[in-house]
Amino acid sequence: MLKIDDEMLRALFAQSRLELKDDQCQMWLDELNHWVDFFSMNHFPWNESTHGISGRTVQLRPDSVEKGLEFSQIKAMCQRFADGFIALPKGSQKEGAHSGH
Amino acid sequence: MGINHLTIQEQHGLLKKKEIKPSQLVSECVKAYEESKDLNAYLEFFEDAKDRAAQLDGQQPQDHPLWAIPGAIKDNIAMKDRKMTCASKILENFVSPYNATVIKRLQNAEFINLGRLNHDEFAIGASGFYSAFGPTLNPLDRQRFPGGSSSGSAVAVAAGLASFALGTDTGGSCRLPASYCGVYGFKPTYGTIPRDGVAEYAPSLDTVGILARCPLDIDYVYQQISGKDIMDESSRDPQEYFCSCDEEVSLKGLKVAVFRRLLERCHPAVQQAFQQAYDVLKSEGAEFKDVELDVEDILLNTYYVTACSEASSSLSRYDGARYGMCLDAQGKTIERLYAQTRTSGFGHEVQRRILLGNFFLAEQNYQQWYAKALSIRQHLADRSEQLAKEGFCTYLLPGFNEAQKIDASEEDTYSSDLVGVFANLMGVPALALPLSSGRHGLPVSFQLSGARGSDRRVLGIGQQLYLRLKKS
Repeated sequence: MLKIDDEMLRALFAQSRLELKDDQCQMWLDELNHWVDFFSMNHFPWNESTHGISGRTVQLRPDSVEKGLEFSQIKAMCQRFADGFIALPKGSQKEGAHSGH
Repeated sequence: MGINHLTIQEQHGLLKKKEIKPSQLVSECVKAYEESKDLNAYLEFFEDAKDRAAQLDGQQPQDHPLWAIPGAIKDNIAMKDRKMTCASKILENFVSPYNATVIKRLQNAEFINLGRLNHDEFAIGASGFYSAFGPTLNPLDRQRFPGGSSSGSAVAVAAGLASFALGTDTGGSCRLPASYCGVYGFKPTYGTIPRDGVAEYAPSLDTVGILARCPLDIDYVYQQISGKDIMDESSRDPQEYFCSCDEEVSLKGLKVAVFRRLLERCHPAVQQAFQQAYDVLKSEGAEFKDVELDVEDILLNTYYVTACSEASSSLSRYDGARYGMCLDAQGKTIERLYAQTRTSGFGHEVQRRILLGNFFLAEQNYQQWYAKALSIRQHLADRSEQLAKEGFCTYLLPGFNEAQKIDASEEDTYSSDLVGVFANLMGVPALALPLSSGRHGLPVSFQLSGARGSDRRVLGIGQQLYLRLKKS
């Protein structure tokens, strides 16, 4: 079972945009590790053939492999909302883009 | 019993026959509120409610069952020019610039809005004790939790402080407090009641729920506020779902699915209440099928992993720059301003769930936690559709045990969520009906549920059971 250590705790606080005071470190470590244990899903077997989403295994795309949306793309998507999903934004026909339905 | 404790159906009958005036009804609610301020059900009781009632006194009574009926609203639902705090310090002085769709729809029926109701901060919690503005107390026993997160909604209906209340239900947050306080609580099919203007907690699970004194009263409110809304792209008309059943349902021949492995995990008092409901349905000619889901052991985990993960994203918008509280920014970087505002504005429970959510979503944990939770939800949705195809559009579920004592451990309060989260994970409607009394004389409930879109069918069956059980 993965445990939250001091380094991970600081990273979680930074990512959550919360402040961590030094004298509260141990309290948070104990508390979060307790709930991570309590909500553990390790005892549930992962079966890709039966538990994928629509038959596919869900994978997180690492940001290091492919960049997220850029500002111009976000702007184009917003325009798509304004157009009532009728037209696809230019340059969005790459793999994974929705058809607009 | 005062007129403020009658059902909406009864109040409407008296208003229509002009045997009572709207202002009398509101005065009774005001009186009850003044006498029970210690319950802390309201964060704000609207002083102009009496003026509104006086205006309606001069009008011809309308046919709509919600005309001049006093209702109250959980404080995570936007009401124009009113505060909307989400029971959090971070939004303490935030005033909503617009009305949520459900408020506009209620106003169209000319209900009387009595005020903003207390709840667990950002609808996170099952106790009613996690509000930044103090705990709500259970009117049946002040030494026990009222249940949450829609604690004020349940207490207002139970104590005669309103005839109905809106709450939100992400994992049992209307049904649990309704049961603890002895009233009826309903969560609709995901998306059938629009959420425009409702503060998000876990958007793939969040629904607007209704609390009242009988299933028929809930149905009046449901009919008024449900249906597709152009402002909420996740909203649907109930008839768009796979199972859109007729509202008139005969209990004879009714096909009911029973999830025994959920029941086995419940307290004997809950099993007893379930059996009572089972026996009534059976005596009326219902047919039953035992269903195993293979994921009963992990429903609670699935719920919390999903809810915390989504909360970590939903609550990221509260940073001191856009809404509500903002600390003095002088000499601080923007990141430091965000962190200080959020740490000071969010309560401990909210911070804990944000941190856990970010843990579950971390790249190295995602597959093991969040993706697994998603796949279990898919499995549940598939099972529900399969059952509907076999004609089993109604589910009989265990409900909630007696309200827990306020010194119960947190693990105990989480465990009571097990029967609540089922309907949210499946996206189906569910109604909690308080039935019997437990060892301490407090309500114990069972739940009626059904396929997606069968909301009015569930309420119709609920009303039939309510009438039969009331007689016995």
